[in-house]
Amino acid sequence: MNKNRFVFLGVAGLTALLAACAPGYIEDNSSAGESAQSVSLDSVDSGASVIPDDGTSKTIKVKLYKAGWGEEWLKEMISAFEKTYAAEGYKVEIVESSATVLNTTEQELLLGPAKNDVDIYFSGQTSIPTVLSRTKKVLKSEATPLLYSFDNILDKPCIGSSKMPEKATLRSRMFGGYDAYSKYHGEMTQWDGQTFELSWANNAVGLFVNPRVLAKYSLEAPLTSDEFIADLKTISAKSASTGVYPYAWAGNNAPNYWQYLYLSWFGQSSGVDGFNKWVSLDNDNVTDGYKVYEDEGILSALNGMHDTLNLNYSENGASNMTHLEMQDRFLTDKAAFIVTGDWLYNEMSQDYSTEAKGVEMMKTPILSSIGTEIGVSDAELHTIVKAIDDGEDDATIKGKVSALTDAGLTRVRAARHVYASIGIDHQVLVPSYSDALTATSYFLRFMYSADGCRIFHANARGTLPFSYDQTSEESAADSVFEQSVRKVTENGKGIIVDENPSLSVIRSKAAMLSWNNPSWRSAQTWKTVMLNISDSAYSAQAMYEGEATYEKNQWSTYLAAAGL
Amino acid sequence: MEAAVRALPPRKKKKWNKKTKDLVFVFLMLFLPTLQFALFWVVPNFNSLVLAFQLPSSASGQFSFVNFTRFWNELTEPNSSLFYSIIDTLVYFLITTLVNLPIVTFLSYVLFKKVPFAKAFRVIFYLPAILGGTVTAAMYRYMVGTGGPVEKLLTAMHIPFNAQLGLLGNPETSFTMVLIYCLWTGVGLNMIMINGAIKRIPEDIFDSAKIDGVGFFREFFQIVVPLIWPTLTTLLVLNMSGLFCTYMPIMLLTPNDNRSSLIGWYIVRYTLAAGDGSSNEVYNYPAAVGLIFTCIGLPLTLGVKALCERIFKDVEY
Repeated sequence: MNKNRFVFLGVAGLTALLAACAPGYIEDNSSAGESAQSVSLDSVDSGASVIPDDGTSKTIKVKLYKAGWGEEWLKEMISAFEKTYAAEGYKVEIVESSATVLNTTEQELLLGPAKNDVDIYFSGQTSIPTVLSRTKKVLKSEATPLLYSFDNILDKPCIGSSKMPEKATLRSRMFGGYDAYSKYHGEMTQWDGQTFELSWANNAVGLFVNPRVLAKYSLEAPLTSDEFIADLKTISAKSASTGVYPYAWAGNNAPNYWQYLYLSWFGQSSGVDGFNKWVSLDNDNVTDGYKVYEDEGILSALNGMHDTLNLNYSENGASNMTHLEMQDRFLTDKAAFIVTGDWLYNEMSQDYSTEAKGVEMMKTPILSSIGTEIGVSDAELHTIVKAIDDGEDDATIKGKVSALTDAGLTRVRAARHVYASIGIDHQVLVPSYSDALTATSYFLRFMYSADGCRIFHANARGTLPFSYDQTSEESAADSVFEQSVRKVTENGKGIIVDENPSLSVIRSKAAMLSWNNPSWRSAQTWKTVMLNISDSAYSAQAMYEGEATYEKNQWSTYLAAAGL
Repeated sequence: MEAAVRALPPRKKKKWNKKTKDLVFVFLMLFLPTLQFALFWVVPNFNSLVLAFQLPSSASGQFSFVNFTRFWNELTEPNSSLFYSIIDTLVYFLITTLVNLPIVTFLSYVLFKKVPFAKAFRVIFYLPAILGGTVTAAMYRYMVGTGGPVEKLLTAMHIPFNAQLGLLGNPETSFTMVLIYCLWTGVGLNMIMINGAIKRIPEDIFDSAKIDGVGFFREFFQIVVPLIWPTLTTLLVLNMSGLFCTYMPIMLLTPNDNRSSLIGWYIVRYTLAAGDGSSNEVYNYPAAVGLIFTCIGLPLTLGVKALCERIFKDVEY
């Protein structure tokens, strides 16, 4: 009997121990231990008017996908908003703040007004075309789309804590081109061109650098791709003895982070408009939309990638490393470069608080092929890029490089602004059947005001994709990392977004990704290339031609899938 | 007395007899599982069946074979992940069923014979099944990862391997490492079932065999295996039915390796991508793939079951 009791207690104790160690008990590390940061805000201006009561609800119910940005930003936002609109009695209630909001948003939107009383979702991964296509089923009519159209507020000014309208409208402050990625194009053609989602995080992605590692080799952050490759070779030459490698990458669960570097180079080479033409399949050109894959910017970007991808440039075993291991190598000075996103700091700062300070996001080195195309040497291209970064005017820059033309300088300037973002994944969605649309519209106009942007930044340590002027206090409080992200994103001047379903009906319906050839289909593209880099079948030229040929051959199948 | 009895109120007839009560009990016990089955198996699978024949993202649910066309295109493309998934699934079945199952059966019999340290071996074999997939995968990644104990052992034994890619990162060896992981973690559960079946065999049979001078191996092949054949058939059929559903080992160890994949992971990967609203993937394609392999797997499983039942007839004891 005693033996059985001991066995039972032992099993129960082991079960309890294992259960306590189970992942479900571990809170989101990125927001653990954070406390709310209040921001100094203006009080309500005496001349501010009171919003008349239109009979709609004054309580806004909100659900938040609690990810790496935490929830303190929303709580502080609510507190400031309620203070500003105390006279109107507007209140905001967080109904749910968890990771599961991401998975339930779409279904909840489709429940309709009788069963769903949530007014705003800060979520993601919701298919706008799918939700809108169910409008008639849910609302019994297609007079109004199921989602609130943000065109109702985008051309209105933001309103901050003073309750006085700002000069700029939401649309003008939205990061350049973001609204292009948010506009709906789909089956419900009556709503084409409207905006049914906004973004609540500017997730900039691209190249990050560890200056501590570069300093050991007396190197500076490279400005051209040739310099970048030379730096990789310099560091790699001593890796066997130093144990430090040019870069870290995650072959296990994030090999396609390399796509962010490729996108930046493609955007540089073809320009933002050229890139958008590729994403949209030339505005869904039914006849020969596949020809966008013949854009030479793709080949230029591939050449850059093929010079970059080399197993010798990373630690042994990188091909099965997880993204956390990859980021660990980078932060512990075992790698000089890494391709990832601006979540790096939030994700790692708790366990790497010292190491994370000082690493920076860097602007993607300008493709040296651009220099060749505009008739300057790589050294001259370096001079041009440095001058642009230093804020010098056109005349000064042209004075430094005699061979530089106006068109060439314009091209390099445009290329220098380009950066990739996946922030479009973070969706703000409002059901059109919400009974608090008036209050909701004022909340969003507050959130995207300069004050709202400051509150978000102070608490989430990220940025909303809306431009604003930082106060000197805020700038001083920014870490090196945050300052570097702002320098790269420059209020979204050159933003490009990959694989967004809103931009192309054919891509969306035909499941057409960036890379569709089965030899290197998206998600495994860059790992496949890295492992076969010496195989001529995976050379830049072969990939470029192979992909273009595949798209041409599959075009009729894509059109059939899209119902065209 | 009679007057007293007549004065009593008439006895109320019992509304429910025992049979009714039993039926009510059975109904209540089965109601929730049946409802769960209907909601979480019938409805999703029916929906999946419908999705397979619909144009992707079509609001009107337009009928189309385009998802099957896509499947054929992917299958006939050289080096496609679908092609490797099929090959790897066949190899996985051969190894885990036709190799692992006999080995585990023999090991169970050895432990049943109470060899020295049998209890300790039993704990070691059961441990992977108890710890769970995520923990064992993490342990395994450490063991076979770069600079781990396995690589050190291989180096000490002068066995060549690609140190740069590592055993799990090298497409030439990654799937082999996944198979070894599956062999290691698959022992415990099978052993529990087989051990239970062996223990059910009456002691008299073993005593008689001993008296008749039956040796170790003859006892195993001519007595134990035929008597536990129904259990082995059940395990074989379970393996067959789960052949196209297995995905965890790949997801945990080599999620982004074209050459190390299973059909189950291929379907899950596309389903996860379709659930990501920022991607252009759709549910229709994995639904079609699932339907295709259901049509292959179902007759295969039933055929194997029928074949196994013909080999040894069930013996009652």
